[in-house]
Amino acid sequence: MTCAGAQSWLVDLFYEELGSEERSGLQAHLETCGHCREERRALEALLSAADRWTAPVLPGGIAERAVARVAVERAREVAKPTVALQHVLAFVLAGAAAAAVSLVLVGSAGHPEESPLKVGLAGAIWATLYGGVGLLTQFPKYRRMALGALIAVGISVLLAPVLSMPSVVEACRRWLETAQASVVLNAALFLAGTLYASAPVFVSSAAVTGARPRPLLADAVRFAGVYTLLLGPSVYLQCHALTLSLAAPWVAGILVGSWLGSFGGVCLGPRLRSAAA
Amino acid sequence: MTDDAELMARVRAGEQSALEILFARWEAPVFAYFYRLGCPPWAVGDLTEEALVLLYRRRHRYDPARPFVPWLFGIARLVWKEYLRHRGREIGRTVQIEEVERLPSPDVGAADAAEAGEAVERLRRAVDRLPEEQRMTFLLRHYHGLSYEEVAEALGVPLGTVKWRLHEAVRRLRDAMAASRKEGETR
Repeated sequence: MTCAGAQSWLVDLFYEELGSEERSGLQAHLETCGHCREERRALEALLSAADRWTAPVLPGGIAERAVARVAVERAREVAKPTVALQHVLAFVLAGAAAAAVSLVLVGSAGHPEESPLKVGLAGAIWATLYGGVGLLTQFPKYRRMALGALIAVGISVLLAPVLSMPSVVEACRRWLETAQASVVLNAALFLAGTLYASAPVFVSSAAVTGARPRPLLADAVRFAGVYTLLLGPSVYLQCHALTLSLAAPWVAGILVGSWLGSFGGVCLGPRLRSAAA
Repeated sequence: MTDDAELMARVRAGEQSALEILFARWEAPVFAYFYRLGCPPWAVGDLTEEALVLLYRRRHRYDPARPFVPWLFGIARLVWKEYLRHRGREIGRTVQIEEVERLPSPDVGAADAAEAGEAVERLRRAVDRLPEEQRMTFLLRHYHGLSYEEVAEALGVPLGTVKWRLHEAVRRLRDAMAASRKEGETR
């Protein structure tokens, strides 16, 4: 055995990683080689100093803090909802049923000459939206918002036969006795759209907002956004046959109304309820 | 004493007491590992806590057929790497610097203290100067008793690499110790 080979094995010897044959070969070399014995002594001194390098005494509370953090994580894991396949299917079916009812209500208020393809497409989109937002009610974080938006859009759709866009246009025209489009007619349509959206949104957002609302802006933005999304097919079915100059103020009114209603409901709902209590 | 693998199985089943035993058993070794790796004193406790929590988070990745200790130190290595990546941002200071400076060391005989302290200080500085992977290899083998195979598993490298790193680390440490001793003698 050469000195280089022996010295490369010295570390393995100390860490008991040598086979018996290698160990006896190395020991035989060490008995005859002063230089390698000196190397071994240097290594012994090094590892002896390493043995004396002790870690500080452990400060208390580390394991306890880790256990406490794990407990918090476990609680979150338990609270985390799991949506089973049968839930998804149930919401898909419920969404389809709600969309069918909505189509009947809005269709009776809309234009009879609508093509089946357009109606079918609007129905499919509606069913998806209803099912998706319905599924959101399974998540505690979104439950109130999703429930509120569904209630609001339900009210709006129920109002459609009595307050449909074509009938509103006709009513405004008769009331104003004026031409196809004018500033006053547009303002009236805008106002009607605002009232049409803001009333149900205000009622439902006020009803579902908790006693201690989370940040106002985020809640109201989500609420108004989901509501307008859900109302989209209804607006399309009622307005697509109208001219843009007539449909635009109504749609703008709905957008503004949903925001106003949402802010109003989120803001005033808890106060109104506490005052009533 | 209950086997670590068995404790892990109980942790995976959601048993709180098993988790407490496991954490209490391994907090000191992990703390000592981070301390010797060169972690700033104020962060050693936080990194240890982080490693224990990560152990829990990764409980389902543990293979009961494989040894637990390399797996645990593999987790500690991840926490250390993450710490080095975000060194600028402090993970937290639950233990204040002044507090750590007062951390008591285990008793050393008064007569031996000065001499032993000097050699240990030289060694500590030499370990600090080792390349990261060599330092980890040396610490895991020397202080935590992991075999070469286990070190290879903890660090995710081949066995030959572990051998080379350990030999290189020891050579560097010996050279550094000899150089600093000579330096001390000439002063």
